[in-house]
Amino acid sequence: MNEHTKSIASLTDRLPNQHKKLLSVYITFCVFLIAELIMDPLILKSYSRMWPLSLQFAPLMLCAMSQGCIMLVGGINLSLGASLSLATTIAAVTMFEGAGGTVGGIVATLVSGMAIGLVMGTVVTFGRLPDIIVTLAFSYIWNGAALLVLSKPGGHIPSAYSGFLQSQGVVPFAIIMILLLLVFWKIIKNTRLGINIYAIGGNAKASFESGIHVRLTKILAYIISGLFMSGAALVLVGQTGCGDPTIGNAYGTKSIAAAILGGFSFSGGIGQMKGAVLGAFIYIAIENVLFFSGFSSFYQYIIQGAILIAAIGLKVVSYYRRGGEGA
Amino acid sequence: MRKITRKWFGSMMAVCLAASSLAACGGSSGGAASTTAAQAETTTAAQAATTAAESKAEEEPKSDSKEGGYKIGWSTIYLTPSWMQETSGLMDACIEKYKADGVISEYSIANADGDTSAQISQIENMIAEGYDAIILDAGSSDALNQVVEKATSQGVVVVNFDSLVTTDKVTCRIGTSDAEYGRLCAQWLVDTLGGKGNIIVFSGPAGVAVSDGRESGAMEILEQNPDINIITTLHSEYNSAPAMEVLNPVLDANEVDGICALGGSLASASLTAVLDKGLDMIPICGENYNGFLRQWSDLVDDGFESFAVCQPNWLGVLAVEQSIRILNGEDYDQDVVVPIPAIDNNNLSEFVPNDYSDDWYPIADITEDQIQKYLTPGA
Amino acid sequence: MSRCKEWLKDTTNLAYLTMILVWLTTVITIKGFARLGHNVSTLQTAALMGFAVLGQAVVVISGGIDMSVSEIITLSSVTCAACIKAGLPTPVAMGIALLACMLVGAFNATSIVFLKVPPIIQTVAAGCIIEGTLLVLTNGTPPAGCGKLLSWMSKGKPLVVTNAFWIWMAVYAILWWMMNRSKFGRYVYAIGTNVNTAKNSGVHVTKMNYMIYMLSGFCAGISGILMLGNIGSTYLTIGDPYQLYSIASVVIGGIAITGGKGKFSGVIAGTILTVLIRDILNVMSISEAFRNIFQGLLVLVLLLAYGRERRAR
Repeated sequence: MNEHTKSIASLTDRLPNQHKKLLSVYITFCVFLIAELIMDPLILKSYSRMWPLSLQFAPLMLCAMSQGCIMLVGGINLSLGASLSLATTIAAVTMFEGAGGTVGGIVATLVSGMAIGLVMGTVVTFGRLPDIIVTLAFSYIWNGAALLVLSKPGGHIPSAYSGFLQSQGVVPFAIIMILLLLVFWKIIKNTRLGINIYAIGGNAKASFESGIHVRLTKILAYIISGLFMSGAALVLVGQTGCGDPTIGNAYGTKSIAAAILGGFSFSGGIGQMKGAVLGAFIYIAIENVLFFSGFSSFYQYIIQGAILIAAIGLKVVSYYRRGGEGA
Repeated sequence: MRKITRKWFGSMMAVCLAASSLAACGGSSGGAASTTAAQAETTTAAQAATTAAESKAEEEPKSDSKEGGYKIGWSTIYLTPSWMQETSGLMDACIEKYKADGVISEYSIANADGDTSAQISQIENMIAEGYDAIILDAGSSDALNQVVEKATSQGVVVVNFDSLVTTDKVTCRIGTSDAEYGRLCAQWLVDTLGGKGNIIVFSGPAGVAVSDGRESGAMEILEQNPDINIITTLHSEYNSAPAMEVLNPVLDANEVDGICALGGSLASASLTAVLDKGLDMIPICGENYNGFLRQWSDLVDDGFESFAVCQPNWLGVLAVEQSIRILNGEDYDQDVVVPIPAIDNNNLSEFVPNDYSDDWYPIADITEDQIQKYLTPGA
Repeated sequence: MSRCKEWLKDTTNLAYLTMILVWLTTVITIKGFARLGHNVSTLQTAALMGFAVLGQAVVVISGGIDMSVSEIITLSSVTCAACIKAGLPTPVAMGIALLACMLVGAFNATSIVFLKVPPIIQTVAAGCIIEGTLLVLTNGTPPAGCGKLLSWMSKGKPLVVTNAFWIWMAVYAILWWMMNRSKFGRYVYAIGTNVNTAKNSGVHVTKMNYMIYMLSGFCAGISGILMLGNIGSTYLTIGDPYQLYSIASVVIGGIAITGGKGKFSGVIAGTILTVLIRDILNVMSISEAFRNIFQGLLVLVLLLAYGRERRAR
């Protein structure tokens, strides 16, 4: 059996197990869902609370998905915050009033998000440079580019678009968007591309030897990551009504933490998009629980740090006990 | 067997995380959590009724319907810089006074720590929790407009101070003008230099409304003076260490006649750099940052002249006072522009020496008269 | 000719060559950069962050990464300022600060070794915890305290260049010896190349991890203390800018971020080159946007010039 079929075999072997793999994430999710409901019981009383909550959770969920996508191919994206800022500024200058202008702006933002991914993916693969350093260098570049587009918060987001994101329908649009992207990922995951993404993250060399086009796969993973990132930017501009060249800074570390809480691994090839979404939920739920319990916001850092270590530590220990599959 | 261990660990983890989250609830206000929740329900229910009836909720006196005093929250983009600490301290004192009188029943601070999106969520949370008034120090001039509009449309009083939002729907804005700040500094520098010379414009972080506002105000004045040559515009965080690193090479490479520093720590760093390099004293304008004021007062005997503007910390106190006035149904102006206090060689001795650390902004306490003067409408 | 080629293949040599070329260009083209005063202040800037880079380099060579460097810098400068303010003699205050930093290193190592938390996550989490703890303890405003001795240690210039630079050189010399002439260095490279092989060949990986991360904490701690001495006071974000710079400097110095490869001696070139690039961009009269863009592009160009991985796949 050659390497390729073997890796595919091991993958198909793994897929039915995916829910088991996320078990600990599910449990943590439930704990925090309950905590969130206890602390903020308005969610149960008034369904309209769902809209602001969805806008609060959605950007980080999409960022975690974007980060997760890079982690799957064994990398890490340190420029996510800067590129998110850039994407919001692009959205704010490309969107115009009217249906055409709004859709045009959305398309422009999504395309530039993918272009951002394409550029970084190309440099990483053809430059044969480690992801962490390339994305670090690009974080400066995207920062500068965002300042070029808008030197301070501003630009114009059509009120119809923000209204649409915040309007009360049956299900918040942000949630529909995440579900759509999850379905999109699900489709990709079962194609050859998806299988290749998991395979090269697991072992790039073996994948190459078994005939997978490693470079192309990696670039495509970066493009998909850029797409998710620009989705986050679109939700953010809908929420804020403007582009802001510094708004993304806060998402850099948070997206990594959320992806890790959601079960992604640094060594690549492990993790699921659902997990990223749940991880982001858990992360923000921690913040909300602290807020509603009236803790000084200073404790936020300490508890977040401790939970990060505990979540991974416990998971790794459990893997270890099961026979040392590693994490 | 494997399955069992996995499950065991899963539940272990759940218990641990549950314990941590419970600890989080129980630590400071375990009992309070449920009561606040209950309160939130009643107040929002009441508010929903009132907002439905009256579109201009803030103009109606609410005091009679409030038995236990007002619930006021402060949403701030930062809490750690010393300017914020000082402001927070002044506000606490003011709040304590009102708490003792029973005017304010609850007060809480939400710190977004630089994350504008988090600030939006925190304001959403405050609306959900049924706060009567939200005092706001905004993280972005534009990004918070929508959530502020939402709050005021639901009858929550939003009093914005220091870093301001641009929406007209905000209940009240109290602040100084960033552009005026820049204009004052630049005008002083131009006058001191006699209208000509090579200068450096030293502004705060790029892409942020406050530093951009100060910079454009300064540029307005500088561009009116054709003999003023701007060598370069530098940007740095409002802290002395990075400011010095940015400034040092520029000072080495150019003959500089003056520095238009648009921030206290930037001015302090500029002065330190000039002294360390043994250059001739050049005019540097600044802010009431204690480190800068001290260096300045040490150099007064050597003939050093400077000029410092203040972003008054008591803007926060004004915001508290104003929100109570509005909640009590008193008249108010939507925009309160406070004149920028300034320090020059004549009144420097009123501020230094003092016992504060370098990282502090000494300023005279606000008087009752000033509060009356600034907040009375039409003044 | 082939010898020349061979010499240029060494990334460390390339880093030093680039550093000298960049420096010469600035001296010739930018007025005032030839002055001794300017070069002294450039070296001072390099030295202050250079300690943290030394520690980061050891961690990177061992295949890890330390994302808590910025918070350790803050921790040490705040602790030191607090101790001096409390009336302790400066050397004692410094000792306490460094001890606190090494404790953080030990904490990092414990999680990495026993809980198997990936270094990047563990150090980010440790950073969060330090940041929160400092905020809670100081309530946002750190005490100011800095004696004459500390100022002199950082800024004093009895021998042309500032003392901080000489201390940097001394620490570098010791670490260079450790990395190149002692068992410690051989083990660090072995772990960075392949942990399992190292373990099998008898390297005590646990002990080594403790030493590596505590060393990184110690080095970042010196940075923090001397930064306090340099500006005479401290604040709770003093270390923040140096996190990314410390990683960039290590890589620009020709050390592979993937671990196990690159000479330790490259750190000096990497640090100075990073500072030079920033100096040049600040002197140029361009907008902040272009400064950022060029900084990123220059780092990329340097990496493409010599940071590339072997074509293995």
